[in-house]
Amino acid sequence: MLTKEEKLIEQYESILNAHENSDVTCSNKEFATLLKAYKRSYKQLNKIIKISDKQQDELKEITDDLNAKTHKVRALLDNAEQGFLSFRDDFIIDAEYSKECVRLLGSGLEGQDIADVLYSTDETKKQFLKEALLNVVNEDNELIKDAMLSLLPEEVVVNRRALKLNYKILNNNTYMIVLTNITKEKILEKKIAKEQDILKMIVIIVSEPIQFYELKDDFEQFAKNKNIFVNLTLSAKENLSELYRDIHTFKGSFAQLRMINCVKELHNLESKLSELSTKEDLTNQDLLDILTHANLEEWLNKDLFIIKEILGIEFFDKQHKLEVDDKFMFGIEDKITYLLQVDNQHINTYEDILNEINRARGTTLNHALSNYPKLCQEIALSQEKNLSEFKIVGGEDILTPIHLKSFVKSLIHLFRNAIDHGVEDLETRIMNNKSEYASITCTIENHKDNFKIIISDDGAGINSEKLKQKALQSNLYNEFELSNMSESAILNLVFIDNLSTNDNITKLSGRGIGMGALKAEVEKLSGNIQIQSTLGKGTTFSISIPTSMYGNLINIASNNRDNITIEYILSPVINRATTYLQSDMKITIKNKALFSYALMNEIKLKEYCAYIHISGLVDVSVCISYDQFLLDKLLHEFNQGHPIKDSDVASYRESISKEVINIITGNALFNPYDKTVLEITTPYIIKHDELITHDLHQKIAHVIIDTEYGEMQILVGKF
Amino acid sequence: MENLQIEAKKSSPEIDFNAQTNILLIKGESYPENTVLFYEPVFQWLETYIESLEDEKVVFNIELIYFNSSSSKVLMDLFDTLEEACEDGKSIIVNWIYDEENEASQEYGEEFAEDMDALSFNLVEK
Repeated sequence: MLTKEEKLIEQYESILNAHENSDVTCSNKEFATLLKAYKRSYKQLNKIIKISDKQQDELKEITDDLNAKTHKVRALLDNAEQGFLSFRDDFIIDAEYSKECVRLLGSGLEGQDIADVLYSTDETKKQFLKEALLNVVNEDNELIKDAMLSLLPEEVVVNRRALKLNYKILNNNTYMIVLTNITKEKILEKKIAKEQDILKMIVIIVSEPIQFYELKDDFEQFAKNKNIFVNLTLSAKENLSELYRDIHTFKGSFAQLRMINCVKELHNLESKLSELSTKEDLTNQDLLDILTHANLEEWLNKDLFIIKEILGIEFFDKQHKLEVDDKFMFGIEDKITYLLQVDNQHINTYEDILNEINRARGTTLNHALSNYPKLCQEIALSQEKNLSEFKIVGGEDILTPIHLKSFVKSLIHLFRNAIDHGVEDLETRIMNNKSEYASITCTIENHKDNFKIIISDDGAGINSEKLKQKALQSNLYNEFELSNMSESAILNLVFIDNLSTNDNITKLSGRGIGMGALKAEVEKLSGNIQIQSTLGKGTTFSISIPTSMYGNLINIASNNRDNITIEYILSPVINRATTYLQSDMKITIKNKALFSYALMNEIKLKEYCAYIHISGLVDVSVCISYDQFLLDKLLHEFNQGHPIKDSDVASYRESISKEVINIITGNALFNPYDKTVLEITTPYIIKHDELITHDLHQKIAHVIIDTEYGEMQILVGKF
Repeated sequence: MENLQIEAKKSSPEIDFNAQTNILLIKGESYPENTVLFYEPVFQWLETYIESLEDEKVVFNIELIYFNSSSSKVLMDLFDTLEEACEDGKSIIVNWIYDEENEASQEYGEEFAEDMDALSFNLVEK
């Protein structure tokens, strides 16, 4: 089709062509048409140019605006400290990516395959990523799409940096990845995890020191004599399997105590040994070679080093006896509180650790025993026996001072025995019409003068015939002696070490040690154990520990630590003194008693002093000194308000100070059962500057009781 | 006569010429690959239509968001055609419809309206 203009041009061109050699004559009308057409074209041209110019201006404005916006967006993304990049379903990275991508992944990303960039040589991971992304695109359901995206690997390590990847779908064939550098967080996470492991180890060791020391000793012995475990008279295969079993047991024991370094190294050793088992011509020398290269001591020392760092070197001096220092436990609590602030993902773990600490600190007897139910479940589980859940009943009102700790620990033997020997396996229980789940109960009773721990099981009961036979075999008693023994005396044979009715020695018990240890602990506390057992029905152990001063003092006296002796004399004296002042004398005590250890020359005594010496199981003195005002108040009470002559006041004051110390210490330490245990001298008056210790560097216990009439000071020590 | 209806495409506008209601509409964007080819049937229809007109009142609505230079040439040809028809006594009103925010479009309308004497050319804000 031709336009008007084209038609006109064609028309006039043909006229012009026809008149090649002569002039063209043109009529007015023709000329007018031509002019009109030209005018029209000219007008149109101008308008088109005008409009076109305007359009270009507009376009430029829009382009500038767009560029400015793009620039702003880019600046935002570049400074976001996160990398943004996109790629199509051919996995080729687009040219537009933010600066952080270059820092994290390197430059020249455009045109590269995203899988190559993220996983360089790991073909499996590359393939996985691509397939997973294609699956996402082909999925229509948005929910499934999201779920699939969330399954994509979230973290990747590129150039030794840990990156978090966040995948997004921009449209059907464009994906976006948001990259976040989480290297720092990862390092912190690792540090936290390590710290946690160490804390767990420490807490377990602190609460299970016996287990720890036993394992440490065993392993040290093993390390020292490792070569004798290769018995040259046996085949290499036999030695290998024996050795493997030993290493495996050690590994398990270390794992229980969370001694991670040993676990790791023993695991490697185990792998090496299991590799050897496939060797055709295995010799004992091969085993010796491996053992020679295994630096067992060093492995152990690595863990021990950490333990020493935290618990202090003294921890290793107190052989098999550990006294937990509250300060140390507070330190661990502080650490946990700190960790809780930086890491809130493991709150449960921290709570567990805190519980462990509280348990280790053992504020009440119930608390001190509270781990045993859990432990029993673990033991039962390892023996494939079913045990009902149980709780320690009672004992919330009994505090466990330090001297009860080793006793509480030794109870483990009783619980272990109950499961190992008492509780039958499932088949036996079903055969005997017993419930599938065995039951163990532990009840603590608080009586006036003692407390009782009663531990019962509904297991097989103790076979007294078997016990007799064992005793006979061990040449402990002859047949005549045994036949004359009461049933309870026979049952008491269970406390004799190396005598166990269990024919098979297991890891837990059966070696016949433990029950003896328990009995020794009970006797140390002047307590006793009674056993009741019915064959086929179960066994009950009833342990009674006296709580009177008598029981405590015996224990304290056997413990050769002066400070503890002093404290255990001091506390009843203070208690008695406060009750005496408040209840008997109706004197108000203003503040809680202030207690400290101090050198004699650091203590400023009051003018009136009286002292008493205590001998017998202990060897200490008690001194009480009074503010004159307080003493006069006491005097007033004693004299029932009768006036005293001025000339008599001094001697009255002396008498009263002697009388009061006599009443207080006498009542505090009086033992109605046995008067030979403690001997208390008559009180003496001493001048406040005459009191000196035998040893000038000896610290003495010093307590100030602040009353409305002035201070009373109580001193306990050797002076 | 038959109506002319062409659906809008990405680069060509919607054409809706209704000979019964005498309302004609061009709406959308105009930058076809071959402008002459696209508008050829439009002009052919118009010529026939204008010839058939007697004293009916025709309303021609044009609402173009974007048009290229060759389309503006087509538009000027269109307005010339309509101007001529009006000079012949036909009654045609052009409504140049633009968005209030699109200042440029208003200016283009003013440009086209210039020199139109017989044709009533209205600028209508949307």
